[in-house]
Amino acid sequence: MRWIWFCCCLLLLTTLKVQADSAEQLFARYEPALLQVRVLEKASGAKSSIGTGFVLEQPNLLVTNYHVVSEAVLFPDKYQLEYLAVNQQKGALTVLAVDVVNDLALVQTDYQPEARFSIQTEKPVQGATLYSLGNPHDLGMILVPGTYNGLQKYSYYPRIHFTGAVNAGMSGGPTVDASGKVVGVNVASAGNQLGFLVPADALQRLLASYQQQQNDADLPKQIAQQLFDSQQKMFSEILAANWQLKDFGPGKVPDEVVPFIRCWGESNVEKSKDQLKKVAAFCSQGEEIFLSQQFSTGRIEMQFEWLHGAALHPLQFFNRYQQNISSANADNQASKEDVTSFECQHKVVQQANGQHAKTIFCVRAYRNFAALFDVLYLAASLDHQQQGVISHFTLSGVSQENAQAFARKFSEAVLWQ
Amino acid sequence: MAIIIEVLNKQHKVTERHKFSQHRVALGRAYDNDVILYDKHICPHHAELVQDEQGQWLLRDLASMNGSYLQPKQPLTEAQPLASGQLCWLGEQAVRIYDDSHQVVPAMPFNPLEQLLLRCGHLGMILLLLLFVVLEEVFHLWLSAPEQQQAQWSRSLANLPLLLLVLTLWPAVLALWSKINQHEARFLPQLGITFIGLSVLAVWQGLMVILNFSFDGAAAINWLQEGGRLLIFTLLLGANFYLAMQVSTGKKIAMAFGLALLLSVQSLGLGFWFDESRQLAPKFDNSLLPLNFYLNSPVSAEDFAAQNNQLFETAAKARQEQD
Repeated sequence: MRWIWFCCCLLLLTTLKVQADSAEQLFARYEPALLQVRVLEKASGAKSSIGTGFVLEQPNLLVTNYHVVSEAVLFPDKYQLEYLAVNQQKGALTVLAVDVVNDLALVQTDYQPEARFSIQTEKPVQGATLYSLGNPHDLGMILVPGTYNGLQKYSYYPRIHFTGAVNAGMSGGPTVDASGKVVGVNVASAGNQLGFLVPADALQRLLASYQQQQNDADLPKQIAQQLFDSQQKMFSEILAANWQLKDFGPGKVPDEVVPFIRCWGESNVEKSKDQLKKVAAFCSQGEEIFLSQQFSTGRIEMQFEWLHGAALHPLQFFNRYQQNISSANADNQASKEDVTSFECQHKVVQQANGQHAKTIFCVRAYRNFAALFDVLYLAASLDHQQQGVISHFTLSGVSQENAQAFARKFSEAVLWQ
Repeated sequence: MAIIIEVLNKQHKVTERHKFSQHRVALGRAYDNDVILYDKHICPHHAELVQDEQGQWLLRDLASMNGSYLQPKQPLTEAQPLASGQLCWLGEQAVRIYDDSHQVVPAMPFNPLEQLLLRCGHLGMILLLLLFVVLEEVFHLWLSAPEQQQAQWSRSLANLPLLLLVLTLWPAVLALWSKINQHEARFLPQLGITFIGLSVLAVWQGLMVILNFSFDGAAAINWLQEGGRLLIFTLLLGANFYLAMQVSTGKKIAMAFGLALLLSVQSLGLGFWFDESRQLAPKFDNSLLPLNFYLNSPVSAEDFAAQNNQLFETAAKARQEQD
């Protein structure tokens, strides 16, 4: 008991010290260590995008978001990086290492400010005041106070939930605690004072791995490895989980099989006069890994649809049923330069438990990252005359082995007999 | 020796045929001629045909305004001898002259194919086929428009007579064409052939829906469907042209095949080439029918998974073929 009291007193003392270091002082001290990161198109010399970066205490290192510098990483012939300091000093930047999963980039700079940022190694307490720094919409460096609200719930990739306005252009800027130490890197916003930060320990890990293998600057190779490792980790968790099933129409379908896959549902049973009744459920791990403006990956999506039309003739029902599976597409963004076209097979399959389904399986490969694929699966049950269950999933950025294992587990989990 | 005079129209089809046994035949627009012509460029007393002592027939122009010709652009200035079967012009009016000893082509035997095609004009059969086509349309409406969409039902049903009218337009055009060229419209046989073609096409499409589902949308079925459709179109149009035209059989077949190909290509969908945005979307067969229509035996889940591995390999290979 006494020990707890001691802790409380310590906490109180820290808070008092924190309040002493005011926001004005923080901003005045650290503003010179903030840089605007600009992506310039080589041909026109014009800005293609901007973000914020901050100088670390480690020599010549600047931190920003991967998504701020992605064009310069992927198309070094077309784009270059430049910084603009508060004192209007300009200079070139070179990307040294990236972490696409956590959207971080380590960049080399010749800019030498007096004050530099150091990384906080301890987690802030819930409700602690944090200050987000950055240059929103190219309006100049600003400071936004907000509150630390722990890690985002149900999120697969850890993100700090920061209650404060993080706006476009502040991406890559630091969020510091009252002592001025970096607790997170601005990464995204969901509007209305909902901001998200990459936790400092992800930055710490990137820094450590960079310092270990300083020579390996083959960024595409780094990215490919990170994508592969990330899906490996995510799928081992999903495949090892004991999938909970829920009742759906005449059978069962998987529910929220792991905490980071969330499900919703809807139906037209009550409201519509249509003789074809539809009940739908969607599940997804909707957070994606940004690779470029046209290319994202890392999503998992599952969809279930139960169609039933007791008043319809089987031929009428199947005609409508068929229209419901006429189109399906990947749910991640990709262009022709990023992926091959889909290879599909479509067959009536008799599953081990005797149920029949028209099953469609499509695969496309990533052009720039070996052994990664987008996969689309669609199965329509055929064992009833006037009802059917459509089960569908799409995976993005997944290995062949994981996709096959997932498909197997998924098709065995969906029951309708 | 008698003389035969054929009056021809612009397409050189015979419109009148006269036979005279006298030695002089007068031609012109006046009513005292032996052959009274009504072309407005012909003079009242335009020309005459006379037989000399040797029995040779001569054409003599009677100082007409627009002249008489045996060769184009060479008006006759004096009487010219005629050979049997020779073509001559009075102004723009073509006439052909024959001896009564002129050989005619031997009689044509009844053509079994033509007889068969003409039998397609059987009214009872046409009505039956018409009923079939209508029922097929109604079946499709029934498949896609469930009862509560009454408005759509009645609108589509009201369109049926219009559809039938459009379908009869094609045989009507052919009948008109053949009426102009060979005095025989043969509308009913053309109508019969058209409806036989449509009915066969409908049966073929229905069969293909079942086959396509049974063989999981295999490419071969798709080719079979398109090939069959092309064949049906070719046969239908070939039969139409056979009755409607008087050109060589080779030409008829070539025209029928060309037009059928055009129709097939059009139905294959030109959108296929133009729709760029769909190129990234997966292409798969979504045909669904009740399981009793599946004539094949379904694959096992293991076999399907094994074939999925093939897809990964194909995609990985495609990845290396950078464009």
